[in-house]
Amino acid sequence: MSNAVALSVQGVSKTFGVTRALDNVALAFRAGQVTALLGENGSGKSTLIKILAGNYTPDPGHATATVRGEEVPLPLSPDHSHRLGLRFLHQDLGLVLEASIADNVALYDGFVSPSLALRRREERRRTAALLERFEVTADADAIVADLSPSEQTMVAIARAFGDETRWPERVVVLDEPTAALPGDEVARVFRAIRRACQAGAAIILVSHRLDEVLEVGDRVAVLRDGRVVAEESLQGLGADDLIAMMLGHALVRADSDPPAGEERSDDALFRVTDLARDRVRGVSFALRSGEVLGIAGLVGSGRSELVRLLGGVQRPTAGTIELGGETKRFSEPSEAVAAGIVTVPQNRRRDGVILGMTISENLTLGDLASVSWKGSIRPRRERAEAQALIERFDIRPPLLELPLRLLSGGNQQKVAIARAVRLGPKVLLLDEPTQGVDVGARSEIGEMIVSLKHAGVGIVLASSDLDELLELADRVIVLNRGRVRVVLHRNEIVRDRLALALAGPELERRAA
Amino acid sequence: MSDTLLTPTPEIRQTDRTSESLTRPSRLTWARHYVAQSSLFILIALFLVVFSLAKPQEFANWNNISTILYSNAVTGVVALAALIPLLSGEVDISIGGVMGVSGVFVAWAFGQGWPMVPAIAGALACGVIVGVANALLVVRIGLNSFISTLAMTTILAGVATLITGGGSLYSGIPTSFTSLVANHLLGVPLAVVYTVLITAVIGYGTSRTAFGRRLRATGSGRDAARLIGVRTTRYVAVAFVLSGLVAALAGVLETAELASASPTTGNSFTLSAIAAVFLGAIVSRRSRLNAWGTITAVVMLGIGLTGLTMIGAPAWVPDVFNGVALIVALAISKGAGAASPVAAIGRIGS
Repeated sequence: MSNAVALSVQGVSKTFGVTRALDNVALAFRAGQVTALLGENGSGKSTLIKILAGNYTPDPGHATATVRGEEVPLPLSPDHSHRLGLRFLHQDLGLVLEASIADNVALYDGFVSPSLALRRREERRRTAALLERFEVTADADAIVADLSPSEQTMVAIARAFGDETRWPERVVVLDEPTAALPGDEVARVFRAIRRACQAGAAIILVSHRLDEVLEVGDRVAVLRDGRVVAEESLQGLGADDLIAMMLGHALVRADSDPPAGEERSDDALFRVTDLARDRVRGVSFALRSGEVLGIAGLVGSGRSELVRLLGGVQRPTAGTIELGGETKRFSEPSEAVAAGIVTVPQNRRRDGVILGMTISENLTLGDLASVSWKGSIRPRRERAEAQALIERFDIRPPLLELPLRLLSGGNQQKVAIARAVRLGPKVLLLDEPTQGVDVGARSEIGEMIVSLKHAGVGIVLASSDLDELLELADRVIVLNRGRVRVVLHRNEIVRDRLALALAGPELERRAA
Repeated sequence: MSDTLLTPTPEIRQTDRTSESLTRPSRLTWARHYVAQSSLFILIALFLVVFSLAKPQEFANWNNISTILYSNAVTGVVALAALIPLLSGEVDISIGGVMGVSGVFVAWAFGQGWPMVPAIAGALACGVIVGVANALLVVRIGLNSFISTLAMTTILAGVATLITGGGSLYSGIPTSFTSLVANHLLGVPLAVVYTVLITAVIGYGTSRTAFGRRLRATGSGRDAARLIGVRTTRYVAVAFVLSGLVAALAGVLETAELASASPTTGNSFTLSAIAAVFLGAIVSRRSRLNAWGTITAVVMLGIGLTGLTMIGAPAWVPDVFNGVALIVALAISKGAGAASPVAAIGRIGS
């Protein structure tokens, strides 16, 4: 196995506004090895990958990449990156759903022959060989949309690696390749990774699942706050060591004495039993009024999907939702809202607020009856209500007529929360409430959550931000592949326990 | 959307001074806004002056202006029919087709000896039926509104030809019917009066009521509106039904004006109606689609076209004029960041 450096980067920095996402990063990735690229959310992993793929431009300076001995200045164009043999499996796979597998492969790697008839036959043959190599049973002519999610992932992986003869020239970046896969499918991905590796491909694996990293990785590179804090062999390292590298301090183990029994069941305000649909594979929990229930889980764990089921955006295929002892079935969010379950969704700019409407219009939209008389909106009443909300939630600038488009992310989010709270919810579903929000607004939103909790609202807080969960949640359920694997209570919600629980349920069980 | 998450939105500072500067933009921006908002009125004034100078005898008299308004009253009503679905984020191309069918239906009914009220009611019912069909296709089956209402247009053209047997219908249309639009009230043709009344109703309904607010929210942020409890599918459906009804009314008015009906009547209205809706957004402070702006744009386009014809512009000019107007209107509303209505047209691919 030749372990020459296949790809290295030097002097890469990237600044977004005042945030330094990458700070003079230098890393080397060797041929024939799997290098795990680790780091917490916001550590700079995705930014680095996007620079390699040619989607981001690094800060001007002397950033360079060296691909198999050839030095190229950064930035790269996406096309140049592809020609250098860099391949990427992004989390959203990047497949054209309506096209066949063969066409997806051809689109990615170029068409083979000038003659149309020859070309189609050759493409199909090439694709069939590729699929066989990666243990995909689907036909080359199958339409991607008809494949199961795990088959789609395998197709995307196969496409990224491409023909066997080219493997020695490839550097393949896999961003959370197993996130969407059920446990038994993961082995298939690993077999593919190992085969390509033996043929001389360099593989960069981004994964939050440390058990998987330990199983398939050779080396590890760890980013923290945009800096490389470790670059070494995985030999002899354990999950504890990796978490310590990511966190920057040794792992603190909380005493794990599971509290006697689940929460008392009789006084639950909101109870969910065996809820399932697609990625959510049977989730149960109970929520009391005045309690904040955190939901943690990696990409693909079913976290966001669960929030959608609770809020009536999608109908569950199995399981029940009870509110105040009554079983509820929602076919529309409006029915959930009427029952007192209001969502503040994750994708704020698309689902949370209406960018083209004013602050006042956004705030009052959920309940126009209270500011109307016989169907006509009374401007004075609307202004008064909106003004009160602007003051209560400290929305800035406090201008009723300002379109939401002109507000900062944090203030947009305050509007999204204010308009939900205005409806007097019994249960408030918050999905990533502080994502993309500046520090000041973040702490204000935290205070809002606490004061709502004291007012007796039951709050479901889904978040990928561990600090947020630690700070606000009374209890955290950790989802893994669509199921609740771990429940952590207030006294045990210690950061390291959460990090460990997220990294892999097997690890957690071993540690406990 | 990941770039929006990574790139911090420029924080709007919290000082009072900045808040004030947001309400009170600099004199230059203020002037620019004012000119943009009044551009339709400026164009109308410009047309009036230029054409009056070019053709002082024919153009510059109240009779001519009154005729222009009269002959554009129907366009105004069709444009209002186009406005309602566009507010909900969908486009209804079939308004011209509905006009054609309802127009020939009322003429056919008179030919069969129906009294006036059932004849008009039947024609309006045609529009409602088509509106319900459009709503089902878009909301239930989930078809793209541009394509499905385009298909509906040719279906309606076929139905209109079926009703007339191919030619025009004019026998049996009573003068009591034609005088419904041609008579004058205080020197203004009744057709114009109706248009103004309909504009007032639709203008109020779409801008001052809870219904209108939810309709607009459905158009400019459907997912966000849905999550806060707006039954967005219902609003889209209602928009199509209302659009069918108002377009049918336009068809009836057109038959009354012409005292005859032919199956191809409606086609020419569709494009200028949609152009007027988008041009009309200019007059609003936040570049929003609105009823009075739509009517102003209809008047502007009408005066422009009539004037061009009077000064002897060749026959190809009106078509080009209409097409250019639509493109200009779309470009302006896109530039103004009014994302939603343009999305209705641009969403063909999804």
